Amino acid sequence: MGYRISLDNVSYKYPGQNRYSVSEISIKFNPGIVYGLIGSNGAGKTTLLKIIALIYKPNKGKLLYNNSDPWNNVVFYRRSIAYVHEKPIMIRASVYNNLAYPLKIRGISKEEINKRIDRVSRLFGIQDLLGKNAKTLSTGEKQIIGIARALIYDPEVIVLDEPFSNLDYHKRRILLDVIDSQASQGKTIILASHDTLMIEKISSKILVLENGKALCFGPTRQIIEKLYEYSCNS
Amino acid sequence: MNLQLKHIAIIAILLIGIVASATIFFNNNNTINVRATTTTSLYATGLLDYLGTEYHKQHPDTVINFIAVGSGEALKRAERGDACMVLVHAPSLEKEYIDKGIITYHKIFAYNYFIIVGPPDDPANISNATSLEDAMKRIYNAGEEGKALFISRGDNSGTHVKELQLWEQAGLEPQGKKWYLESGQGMGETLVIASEKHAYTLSDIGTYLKYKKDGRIPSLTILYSNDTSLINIYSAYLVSSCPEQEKAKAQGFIDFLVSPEGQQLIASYGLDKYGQPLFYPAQDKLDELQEIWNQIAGNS
Amino acid sequence: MNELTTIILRSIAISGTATLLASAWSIPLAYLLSGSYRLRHIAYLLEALVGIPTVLVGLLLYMLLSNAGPLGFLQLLYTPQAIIIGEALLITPLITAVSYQTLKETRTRYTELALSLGATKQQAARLVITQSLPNLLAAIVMGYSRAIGELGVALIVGGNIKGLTRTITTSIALYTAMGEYENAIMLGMVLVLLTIGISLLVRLVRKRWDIE
Repeated sequence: MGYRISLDNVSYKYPGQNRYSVSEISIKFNPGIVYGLIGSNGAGKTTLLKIIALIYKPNKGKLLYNNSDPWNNVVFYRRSIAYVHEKPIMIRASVYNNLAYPLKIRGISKEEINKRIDRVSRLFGIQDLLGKNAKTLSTGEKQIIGIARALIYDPEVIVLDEPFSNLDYHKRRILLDVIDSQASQGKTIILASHDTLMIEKISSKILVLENGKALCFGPTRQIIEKLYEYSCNS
Repeated sequence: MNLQLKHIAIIAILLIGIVASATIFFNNNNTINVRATTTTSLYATGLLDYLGTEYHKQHPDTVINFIAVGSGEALKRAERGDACMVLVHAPSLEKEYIDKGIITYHKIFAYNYFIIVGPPDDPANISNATSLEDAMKRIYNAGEEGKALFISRGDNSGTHVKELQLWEQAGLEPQGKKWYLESGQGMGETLVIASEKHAYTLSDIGTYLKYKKDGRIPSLTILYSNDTSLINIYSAYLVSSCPEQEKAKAQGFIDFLVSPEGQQLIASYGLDKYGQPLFYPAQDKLDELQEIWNQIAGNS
Repeated sequence: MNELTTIILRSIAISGTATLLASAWSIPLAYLLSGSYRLRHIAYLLEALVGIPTVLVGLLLYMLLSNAGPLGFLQLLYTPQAIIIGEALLITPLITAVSYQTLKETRTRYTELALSLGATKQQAARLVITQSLPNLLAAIVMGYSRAIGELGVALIVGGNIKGLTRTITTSIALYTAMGEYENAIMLGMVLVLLTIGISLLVRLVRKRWDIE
């Protein structure tokens, strides 16, 4: 089961900057639902995702996972979160070793690692890439490896930053199916994208960010309509 | 990641190799090292290494570590306790340090002559000088007329101290003149500069002969020499602050320098290579040298 | 072994040890600095000190190690160890500054990656270091080249003692003073070959490593 994640007046500012990149966000994310996060460049999407994924600690406000503060046991909670960067970072090693890395740091056995890599690479159709050097892959291939690498440890919370941007039609289809099936397993899923079409297709609820603030939040259909009418105010 | 582990292993092995070879090098044997600061000109002729090696053959437990710097610095380092023995040639400076009680056990062990060298066409005409003072005056005047240059060591070395005395005795003050250049370097480098610039300079005979023989200073020739007041006296001292054990070894080396055997080695050094000795042993005219030494030391 | 060979090997050993020593504290220091916004000024200071004159380091160390100095009791003056310490200090700003640059670049990325995949702080640090190794190696080589080519420290605190602290550079200085230019130039060539050789070797290792 995924976590109920709640943000209460959460703000974050980067060290050495005066302006808050994310300010006073209050929102609840529930398990089994796909949330879409939209907004223009610099609206604070990535920052908010990193706060949710426990990479940035909020300067102000409260972040709770199932009513407890995840920062008290942060490694434990992170191990059940998949966070994939907009431009996935590849480790200087083969694709196989990239996929194995999160499992190795959890002390999982070699056989189990092989089994999971086998499963996930069949799921994403990346068997041919396993022996390749991850640094030499195309952007799209890196994106799918990054997602596969984050899903391999079966996380409860899935946070993806622009997951569709570099994928071809075929891989988009695969990813949509994977997200659907993860949602039906009760995972908490949050996606950011400026591809409104994809967000509209996959998510049930949408949060619109502007200048680090929540502009509006609600069911997808409702928010999309508001956006068309330029009447988005929460 | 396996690939990287292999590389890390290779690097680790390389590093271990470096450290291992380092420890082999830095392992000191059971010998006692005697720290001796000395003047560059004396060291650069090779005489000291030659004497040190001969002495080590007879006394395998003693190694003399020569640290070649100018006479001024050699004495300064002794004052800071960083030497046990000094071998220098600047009587007036030496006197100061003797008076301060920093150095003792004075032994004159060798001498040779300073020479004034310059371009063969001798624009200041010092080869016809009637006296040392006259020679200095001729250089000064030629310098003022823009016909000659003089290169000074300018490094508080024995030779530099001597040179300053010569100007003073002639009642001249060349410092700051534009024909008077200070090289701030060793004797050899200064000779090369003088040769390149067709200038005059004061040199010890040893370094000059070595450089001349090797063809480094084609435009220099000896223009004024064989004056008793150009005598260059090399003295050895013990440093008072030196630990007893090291001091005893240092004293052993100094005694060796002034022994008939050591004196013989000094007299014959360089004879085969340069056709004339670079240094004269002090034993034949020790009293005379001591008197000259007193004179020079007292004059400052 | 003839004297020149010994001198060359001694130089390699002294500078190699100094480089190891300097790396042992410079790289952790660079790692520390790269992770702190407040400590960045220390990094700027070290960057400014990259070109610190070798004679100044030599002189300051001499004042410290001299028998009249505060550390005279260690009896390190005129020993290879003194040169090692001096050269290690000399190249600390260089290795730290270059490592800092590369770590600052890779650190945020790989720390975030490692943490997002569930790594502990130690595991994240390990990933950052292994991912930065090729560039850190380059920093180490730069330090080594500066150490083996420097004269000031070796001459002032080493004393250029035959058979003990005579290195390639102090030999070059001595041979020059003795007018034996052939030997000086020969050793100079060895020095150049050594630095070129080491950086070629590292380039080769990096190429196989850094498969980008």
